[in-house]
Amino acid sequence: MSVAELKERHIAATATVNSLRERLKQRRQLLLDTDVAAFAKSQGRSAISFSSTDLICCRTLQGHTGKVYSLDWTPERNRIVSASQDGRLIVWNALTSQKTHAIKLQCPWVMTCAFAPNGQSVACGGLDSACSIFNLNSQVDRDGNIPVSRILTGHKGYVYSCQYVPDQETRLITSSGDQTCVLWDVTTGQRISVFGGEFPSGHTADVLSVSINSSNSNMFVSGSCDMTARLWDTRIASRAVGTYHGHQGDVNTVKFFPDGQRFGTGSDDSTCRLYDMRTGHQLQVYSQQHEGDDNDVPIVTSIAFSISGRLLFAGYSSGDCYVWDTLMAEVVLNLGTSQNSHEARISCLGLSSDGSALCTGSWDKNLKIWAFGGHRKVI
Amino acid sequence: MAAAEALEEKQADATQAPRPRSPRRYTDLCGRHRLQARVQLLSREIGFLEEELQSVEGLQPVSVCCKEVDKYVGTTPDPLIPTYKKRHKSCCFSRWLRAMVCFNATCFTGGCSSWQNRPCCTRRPNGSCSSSGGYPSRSCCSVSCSRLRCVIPRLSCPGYSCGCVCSCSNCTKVRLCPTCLCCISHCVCE
Repeated sequence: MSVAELKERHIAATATVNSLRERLKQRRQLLLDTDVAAFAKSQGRSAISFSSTDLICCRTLQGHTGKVYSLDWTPERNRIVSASQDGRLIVWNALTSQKTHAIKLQCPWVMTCAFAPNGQSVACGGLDSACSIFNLNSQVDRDGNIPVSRILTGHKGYVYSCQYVPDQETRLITSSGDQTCVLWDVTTGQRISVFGGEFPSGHTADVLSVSINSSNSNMFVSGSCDMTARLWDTRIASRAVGTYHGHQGDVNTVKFFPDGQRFGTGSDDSTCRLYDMRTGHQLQVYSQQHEGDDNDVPIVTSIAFSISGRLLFAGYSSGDCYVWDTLMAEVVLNLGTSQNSHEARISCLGLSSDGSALCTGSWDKNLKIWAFGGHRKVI
Repeated sequence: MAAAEALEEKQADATQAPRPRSPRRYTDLCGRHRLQARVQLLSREIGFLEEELQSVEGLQPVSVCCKEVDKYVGTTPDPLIPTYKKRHKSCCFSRWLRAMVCFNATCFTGGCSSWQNRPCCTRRPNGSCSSSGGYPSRSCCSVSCSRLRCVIPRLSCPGYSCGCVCSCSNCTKVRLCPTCLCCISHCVCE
């Protein structure tokens, strides 16, 4: 086939794709008979009422000398690992605020970190395009550093996000600037599957976040600079199970809803959205009016759901940390204006495994732990 | 002699500069392949979109999903939320009615609860009960009580100072341990 014929085919195929996408959008619009907030209001629900002292900062974890980029809780024993621009991982005891480990990284440009399910190892990745694994029980070297136990190489771009597969110490998923996600065998250092890339359909831009379904660890969702979130089945790397449109900017963060049937996203377009995994429906948009010009609109950097799903915590580049009532789509609290709040962008946040505490990380070099400090009343 | 001549010839050939070939006719190989790959990707995308269009036909509307979310959120307890359990109006009326006709001590053993005649009881962290208002502590604490006890240090209870959380109908307010701020200390009936 000649180049001219190929060019014609390309134009025709592009037009067909655009037309099909428009038809799909219109069909979905017909099914959009309500959203979560309108439904909740029709059921007589009212928004959660927080007083200013209900969610308080219990701990401030100080020690990093650079911006905090990422954090992760252990599944048990209340420890946190954080990654910072200072080129270190720090493992904290969240109860006592003490540092149990400080790991100096070979490549200081770290962007993500994660705890293994057994709490014995941590993983991190960044601009070195690799994911490094550290065993916290290892003997330190003569410089007092924990040596790296495994380096997972294969990505062709920076590693922006990583998460261990729940209850599987040897499986890890990373997302990368090379537009792919990879499932790794940590024991052998081998790639088990590559999701996306040039030939299999997948994201068409950098992949910034992953979230694995804790109810079904074969499923994970990824968020990308191509403004979509995609659902993957780890057993089928050849194509995404679903693609979720709606955002008008990079999807920086994704997180599964606690029931495992929905997931939330946060984006450069300053909104969070809730999608139904199975049907692909966009169930709710969480959007706040912002004063000032469009250049100052804060981006959503990180999200987490409370254990019931009723609260959606969203960190923003402005330093705000909105607590959204998921059902009513209202902001019920702003941790960014609370006492002892962060003084710069919230870059990451995460909920403890028992749902009793939220940890936020910020460009002000600190991490903070928030927990319930109010009264419980039965009327 | 002949062998030496042959070797000399061969060496001469080896040192001879290679004759340049005429330049190849320029063909846009790189661009063509890339274009072909893009067309293949688009064809695949068309297939996926057509499949998705078919699957959308039988999909449930958004309201069904919203109902599922509403139901899930409503049934799962959350340690970060101030819990407000609203009593239904009919329940309040029946309770009021029982309170009006109920005058003996059995009302305070869990048989009925009245906003006006609630016993004031306190379950101490060691499990014993105390009461005020002239009501026997035994009957005060015989109401059903769900007990959440911190047995290991948790962020919500770092000092082991948690006691009992009463979710019984007689409890209207649960005080927080002032030491750790995030911990529920005892049930105070008001």
